[in-house]
Amino acid sequence: MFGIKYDLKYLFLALVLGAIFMTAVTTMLYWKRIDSVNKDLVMTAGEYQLKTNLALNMWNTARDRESVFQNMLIVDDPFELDKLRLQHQALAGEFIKTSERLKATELSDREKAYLAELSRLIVIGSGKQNHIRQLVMDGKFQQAQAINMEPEFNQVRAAIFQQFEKLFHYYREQSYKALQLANSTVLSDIRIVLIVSTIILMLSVVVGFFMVRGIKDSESKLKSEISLRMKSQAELVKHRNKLKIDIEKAVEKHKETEKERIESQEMAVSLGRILENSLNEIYIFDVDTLKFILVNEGARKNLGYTMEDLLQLTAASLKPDLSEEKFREIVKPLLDQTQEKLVFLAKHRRKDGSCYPVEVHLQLSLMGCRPVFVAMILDITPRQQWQHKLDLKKEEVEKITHELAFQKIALEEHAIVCVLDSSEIIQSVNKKYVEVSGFTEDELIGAHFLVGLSGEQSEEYTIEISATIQRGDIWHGIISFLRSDGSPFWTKTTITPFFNRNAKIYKYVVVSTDITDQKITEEKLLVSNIEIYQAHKELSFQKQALDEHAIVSTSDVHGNITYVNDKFCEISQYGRDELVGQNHNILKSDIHPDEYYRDLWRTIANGRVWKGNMCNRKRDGTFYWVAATIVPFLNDEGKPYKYIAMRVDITTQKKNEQQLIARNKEIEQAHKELETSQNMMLHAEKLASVGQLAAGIAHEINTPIQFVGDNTRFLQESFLDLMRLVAVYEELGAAANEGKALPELIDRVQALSEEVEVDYLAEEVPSAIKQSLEGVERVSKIVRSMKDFSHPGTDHLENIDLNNSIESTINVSRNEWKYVAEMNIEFDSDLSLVPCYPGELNQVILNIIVNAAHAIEDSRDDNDPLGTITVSTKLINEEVEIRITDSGSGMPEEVKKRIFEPFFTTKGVGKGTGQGLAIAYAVIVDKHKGRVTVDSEPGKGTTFVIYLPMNANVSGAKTEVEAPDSQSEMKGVA
Amino acid sequence: MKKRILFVDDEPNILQGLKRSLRQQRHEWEMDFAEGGVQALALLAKQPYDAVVTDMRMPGMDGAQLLNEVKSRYPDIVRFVLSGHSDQELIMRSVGPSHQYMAKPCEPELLKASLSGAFALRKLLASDDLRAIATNMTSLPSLPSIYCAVLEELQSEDGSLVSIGKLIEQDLGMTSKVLQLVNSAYFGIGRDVSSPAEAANFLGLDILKSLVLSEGVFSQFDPAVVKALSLDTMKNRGQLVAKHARAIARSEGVDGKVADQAFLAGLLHEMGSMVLADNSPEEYLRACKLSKQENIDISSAEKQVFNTTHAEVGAYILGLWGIDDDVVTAIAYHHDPSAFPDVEFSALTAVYVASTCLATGNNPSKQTLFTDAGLSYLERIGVAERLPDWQQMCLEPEEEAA
Repeated sequence: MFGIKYDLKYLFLALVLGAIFMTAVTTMLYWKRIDSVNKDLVMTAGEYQLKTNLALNMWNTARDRESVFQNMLIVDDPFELDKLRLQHQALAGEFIKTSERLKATELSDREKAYLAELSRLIVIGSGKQNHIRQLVMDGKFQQAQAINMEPEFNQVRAAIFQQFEKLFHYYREQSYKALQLANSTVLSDIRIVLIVSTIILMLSVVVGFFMVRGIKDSESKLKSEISLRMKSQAELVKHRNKLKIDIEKAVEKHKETEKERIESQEMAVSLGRILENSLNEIYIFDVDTLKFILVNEGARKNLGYTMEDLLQLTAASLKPDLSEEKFREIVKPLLDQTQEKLVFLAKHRRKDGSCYPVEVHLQLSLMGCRPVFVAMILDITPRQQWQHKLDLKKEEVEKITHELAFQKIALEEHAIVCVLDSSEIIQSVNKKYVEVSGFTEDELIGAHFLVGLSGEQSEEYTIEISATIQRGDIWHGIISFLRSDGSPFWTKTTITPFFNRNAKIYKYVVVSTDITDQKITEEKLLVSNIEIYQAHKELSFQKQALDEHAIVSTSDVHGNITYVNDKFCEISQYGRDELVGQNHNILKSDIHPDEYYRDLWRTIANGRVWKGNMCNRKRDGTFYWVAATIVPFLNDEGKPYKYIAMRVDITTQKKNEQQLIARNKEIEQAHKELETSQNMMLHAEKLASVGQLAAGIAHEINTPIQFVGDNTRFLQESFLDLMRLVAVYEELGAAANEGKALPELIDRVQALSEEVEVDYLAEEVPSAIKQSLEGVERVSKIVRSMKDFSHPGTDHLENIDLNNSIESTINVSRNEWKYVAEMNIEFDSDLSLVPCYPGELNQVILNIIVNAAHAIEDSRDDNDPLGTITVSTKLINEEVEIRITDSGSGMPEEVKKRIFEPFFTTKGVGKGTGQGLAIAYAVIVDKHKGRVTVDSEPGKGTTFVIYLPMNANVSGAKTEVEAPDSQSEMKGVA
Repeated sequence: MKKRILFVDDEPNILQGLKRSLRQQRHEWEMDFAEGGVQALALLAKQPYDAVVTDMRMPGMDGAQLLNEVKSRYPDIVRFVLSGHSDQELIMRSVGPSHQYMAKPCEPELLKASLSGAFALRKLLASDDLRAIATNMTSLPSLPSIYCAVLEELQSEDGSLVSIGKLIEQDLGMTSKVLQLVNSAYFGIGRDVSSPAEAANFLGLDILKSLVLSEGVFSQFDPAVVKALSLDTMKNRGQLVAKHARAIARSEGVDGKVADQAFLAGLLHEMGSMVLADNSPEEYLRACKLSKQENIDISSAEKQVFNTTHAEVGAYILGLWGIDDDVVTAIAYHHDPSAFPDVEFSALTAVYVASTCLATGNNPSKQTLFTDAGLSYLERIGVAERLPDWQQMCLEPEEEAA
């Protein structure tokens, strides 16, 4: 039994183990299957998502294109139109690109069929659109509109829509199918796995039960088996654990699969959502009840109903102009399968009761397995509005055309019009043209248009006109035509090219307005504009320059600052905020007296410009100098209403000026010192020469005094002798009277006469008297000359008798020259008074005469005849020439060059100061403003010539005195 | 015999004036007039003259040139200058060759006195040769040491007139010349000055300098002669006598001027010895020997050898130079004052006493040299009783000079 039992037990165990193994294998297999299904699903879902997206793009593009197209029909602005045209074209390209991408994917037969149909429809629709577009571009709105409204075209549109719907439906279906397949497959597989796992678990429990019982029955027997069983048990546990893990894994896997499934589902839902979100109204309703199953958001929004509301409504109920019967009748062809799709116009009523026109695209579709109607509704309100607008436009066009006709007449009357053929040859001209040009119509027609232009425009200009219009563009501009008399007439001209059907230019219409007068005015205007511009530019430059350079401020009439430039702030160290609003006297320095400011204000308040140098105070208290110009701005009454002040910083200049003044003062001082020292030198020289002269003069005086004294003494003695004789004669006389004897007395007289030498006395006394008188005269002359010569130096010019003055000098210096030279005097008797400084001039003459005497002395031996000194004066024009020539040794060139240098002397030590001629130069040139020249030849002699101006102003000395005053005045100003 | 005088001037009026004003002298003087140096020399060549009076500044040959010419050709003619010039350069040139300088305008009396004085001095020197020597002598030689000291002092930056005056005082040559200048009209001072220091003061440094440096104003002895003749001793003797004479004069309470004259005369009293010694050293030495050998005073010996005495020679020269008459007299008669008709105390008295006292002191025999004649002179002027005091004063080795 046990044997059997055991056998059974083992057999059972084997079966269980086999089952477990089977389960694992099965699980593994299913696992793989789930995996592959999963993968398929993912692939399918991705594929369809992509395809759906592409299809959607196509749809959107088509819709956009339609909308652009519709816009084209109502836009009247040609530029806008052109823009739309380009957009329209671009969208076509985009559509084709997207469709190509879709076609490039793996396509099923149905898809291919759908796409082919779609392509066909699109080509038709696009062709129609292009045609209409061309019409629009050509301005044929009516025709375009007509084609647009053709039902044929609408059908194409509906067909396209339907085709898209089919495509979307197909993709939705395919996605759904794939999802369902995956769902069912995975669910059944999991179910199998779970069943197998349950069976295995139950089997394990049964095996366990048997095993425990077997142990209890025969413990000892089983002892050996226990280990085996325990082993099996452990193995089982191991297996069980493994199984458990496997199951957990399977569950997890399932969960994942489930998640993926949900995602797939969500994807499908999202496809639906796209439809839902579509702006087009999409309705899905039951075939039988016509009740709505699904209505997309676009529709709901437009209608104003919620989904709940709509579920209670039927498709027919929305259309107030259609009864349910009528509606069913309309949809019948779809149910009969006689028509795949329906398009019709209807009206939808909103929840609020308002209606809107719709174009209904209806088709039969499946929702799951349930047949439904899918309606795609286009709200054609805008389209109708466009229509309305178009109608209006049409009216307008008619009106315009009408007006144009009038205008044309007016134009003919007023404007210069001519028509050119494509070669720009004038075909026709209007009366005005003939009138203005002065040519006859015959003369004009057949001529080249541009040839008729005057030479006022450049060749480039005419070429450009030609090029522009030949390109087909309208040219607009100014042309000057030639009149028959050769003068130009200026026109404002528009040349419009006209195109034929082949877009070829077949004529040009030239419309011109005579603007000759205007042109002239314009030219004038242009010139003045240029001038104004130029002036403005210059002004702005000037302002800029001014701002860069000058310190500028404006102020009101009270001197309150209203504006300051940067420079102002910079120099004054104030900020702009601190200055504007302040009075100008914030800058006032204490340098100027009040009168200065009063004068300033008086000037500008009277409307005059004030200019001056002004010292201002900076914020830190230091001063700066400016050269300021203040200009008042005058109102109509001539009263200042504001002032502008421009200043230039002259602080440095001022400093320099002050330095200069200081320097000048120093120089003046030095000059004064120099003058003083020169005067002192002059004085010293004079003293020296007086000292020198004194000896000579003393001799000149002593000599006559000597003989005058001697003679007088002799006269005294002679007188006494003669008196003695007279006494005897008286005695003789008395005796003769008395009649006394005379011989004795006569003898006495005789004797006395002999004793006193009467004959000698008779001879000598007159001579002694004469010589004495001569001597006295000589003394008085020398004294007079001395007085003349030592004329006290004056500081101003004096009119003196120059001849007399020179003679005195010659006299006082007589002792210096008389031993070596004879003096020749050649004075110009016409010479009257000469303005000079007599003291200084005498000194000069003396110096030259003494030099002359020395020069002669040097060149002469004691026994040689005397040399000569010639002094002459001569009046030549406005000058006096004083010429002093000696027959002395003369000078070599190198000495001559230096004679006027101070301290230059050729005389021995102690003989000359070396100052004589330097002083002569200073006196003649500096003081008398005259000239002094020297001509000398060694061995022959030297000639000094002094020229003194006759016109020197005697009172001129006063101006010299005044000069420093005026200078100091200037300093005061500075 | 009339004296012949030649007047030279380029100004005819001057000559005519002189002729007229000196017409009263026509009985004593033969006067000739020349209008220039050349004409003057022509006249000099024709006949002998006793004096030449010339102007300085003249065209052609000037006064200095003329006088130098006269000095060399006719050494014993008295040479006077009569000039209106005060030009220093000219004066310096004339100081050498002229004996006296007179300034225009010049009183005829002064001219007369000067000329007469000069003619009177000529009697002192009987020998024509000696007179010629003395007349030709324009300066006395100086002692080289003193001359150099003066030169040094003049050239030093801080040279003072006081120290120069003291130096000049020690030298007969310079003293005599300085006094000559000061007392002449050369520099227009024209007053009697007897003190060399005072003279130096009057002249001033500039003139002194030009005098010292001018050729022919001062000269120096040959040092060999100085040694041979013991001129240093002579100098010392002169100074001693000068000091004592001044002291004696002062003790008599006379005029300061007399004291100065006494001093100057004392200083120069042996000047003639120098002239003799300088001109004839050998003869002078002979005279000295004779004096010692025969125990006679030097004057007697000189008389024997030169037929004149140093007193006469010195007086002549100084007189010719225009030195104060009292000084000249004191020198001329210091050996025999009785020969001079003096009536009161004078420089002569002082110099006689001082020099005789010194000579007595120096005499080896100590025998008094006051002769009877000398004593009677003292009695005549009434100062005989003063002699012992004076003798006493002279014995004092150093008399403090005031």
